Amino acid sequence: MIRFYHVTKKYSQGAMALTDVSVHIEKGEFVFLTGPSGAGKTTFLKMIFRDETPTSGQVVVNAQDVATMPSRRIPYLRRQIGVVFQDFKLLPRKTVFENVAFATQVIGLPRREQRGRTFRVLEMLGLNHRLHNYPEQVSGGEQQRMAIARALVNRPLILLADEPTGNLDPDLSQEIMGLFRDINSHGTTIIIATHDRDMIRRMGRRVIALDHGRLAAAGAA
Amino acid sequence: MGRLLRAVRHCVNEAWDGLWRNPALSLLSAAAIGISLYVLGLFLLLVFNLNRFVEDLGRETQVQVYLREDATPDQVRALRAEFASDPAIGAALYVSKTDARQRFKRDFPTLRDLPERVGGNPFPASFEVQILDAFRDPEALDRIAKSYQKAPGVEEVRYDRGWTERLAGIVGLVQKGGYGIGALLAFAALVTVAATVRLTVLARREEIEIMKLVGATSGFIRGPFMLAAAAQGLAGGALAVAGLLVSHRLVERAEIFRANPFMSIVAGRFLPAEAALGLAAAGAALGIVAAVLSLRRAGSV
Repeated sequence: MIRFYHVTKKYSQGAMALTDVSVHIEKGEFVFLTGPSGAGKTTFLKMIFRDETPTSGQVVVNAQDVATMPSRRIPYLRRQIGVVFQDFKLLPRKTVFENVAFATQVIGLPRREQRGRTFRVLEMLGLNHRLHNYPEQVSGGEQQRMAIARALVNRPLILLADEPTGNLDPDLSQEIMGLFRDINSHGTTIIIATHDRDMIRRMGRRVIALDHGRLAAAGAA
Repeated sequence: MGRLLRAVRHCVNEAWDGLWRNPALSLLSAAAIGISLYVLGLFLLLVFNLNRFVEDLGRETQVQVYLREDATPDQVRALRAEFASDPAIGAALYVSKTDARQRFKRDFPTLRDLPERVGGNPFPASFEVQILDAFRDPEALDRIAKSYQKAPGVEEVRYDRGWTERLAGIVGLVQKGGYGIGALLAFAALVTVAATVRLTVLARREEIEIMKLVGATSGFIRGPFMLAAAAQGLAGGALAVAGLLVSHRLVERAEIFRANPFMSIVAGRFLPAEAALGLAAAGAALGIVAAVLSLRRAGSV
């Protein structure tokens, strides 16, 4: 599903974000991406949905070469990938419902289907009592779930999450991880960037470890 | 409902929302375009009327063929026959020496006894030759004049080409100046509108970023901004035409207009409908161009 071939990313200031990273993630896998802050986790994720392009090497997602893909194809790549951002990226002037429905509107779904899908995903994430609240009126955990709902509403093949439990208490983190496991069991490939070692241990899934932009260890934890 | 229809509805809804999110800014854009097109329109109006005047003048172009004092009746008859068979000539009116003196007395009553005082009749007989429309360009006139210059009994051939040409030159200059000023103002309007589009894009950059990340096409992102800018431009263009119409009416009604024939030359008639529609369309085009310029980066994914 996702292949990195000798991927190197060098920023214009000369900093190396990734150095010669080669990784293969199968369809339906659940993978943790770990490493200390600044190890290149976020850059790794951004490569997959083409928010960044490699300086050298190749990134292939769902049989498409991401770096050389014409820019008019990029929106369609992104529709196959749901992303839960570290800072959530919610729109403060839109309600919980509108924030999630926004993603369905953008890809041009018929209105009836926009509403149907949004209701279903919000229900699944336990946010159906929050539909008309604004992001600032709901808790951090609920905001997190909003972000997950938006990533899932377009039924992506791949779900990427950047530190999804970073600012949640352990119970909530546990709950969110359970949710990811459910989603994964329906066939969605999941990659979660985190430095929460306890959680990785509890989940017992494959770990890709990065250190200073290099692959430190890859395989089953 | 089809995908295309949904896309159009999205554009219209978002553009409408965008216009009302910051009405002052929308008004500024429309006004900038309106003012530039108004000034351009003033020049168009001026040039349009001047051109009409020059054309009318050209239509009155006559070639005067003055006859020698000693031209014989046979020579006059021959000339008349030649004029009749010349495809460039519509009509040729013979003005005898007596007619010429009568005309002078009629046109210049204060000098009516001048011919008698200089002794006899100093006015030559002549033909007033009407040139057909198709032969009214300078080269054709020149050719006609030269061909009759050498005919027997002809003293001189004259036509008022110099005057019309000079006037046409002046009109051309006004036209160029007007277009120059219009282009300059249009450029200023373009910059203003581009800046206001940029501002609205900046105000919504968070939303645009998220749209891109969840897979919005650049058309989906840019469309509403383009449509809003086109609407502002169209409104500006329509305002300019309305302003021109009002200005024209005011000038037409003013005392000075009736008293001064010059005013009817420069502002006698309003712009033809195509030109007025063209101005409004130019407004929309300006808006779209400005949006395209300022969206080059914003919409790209």
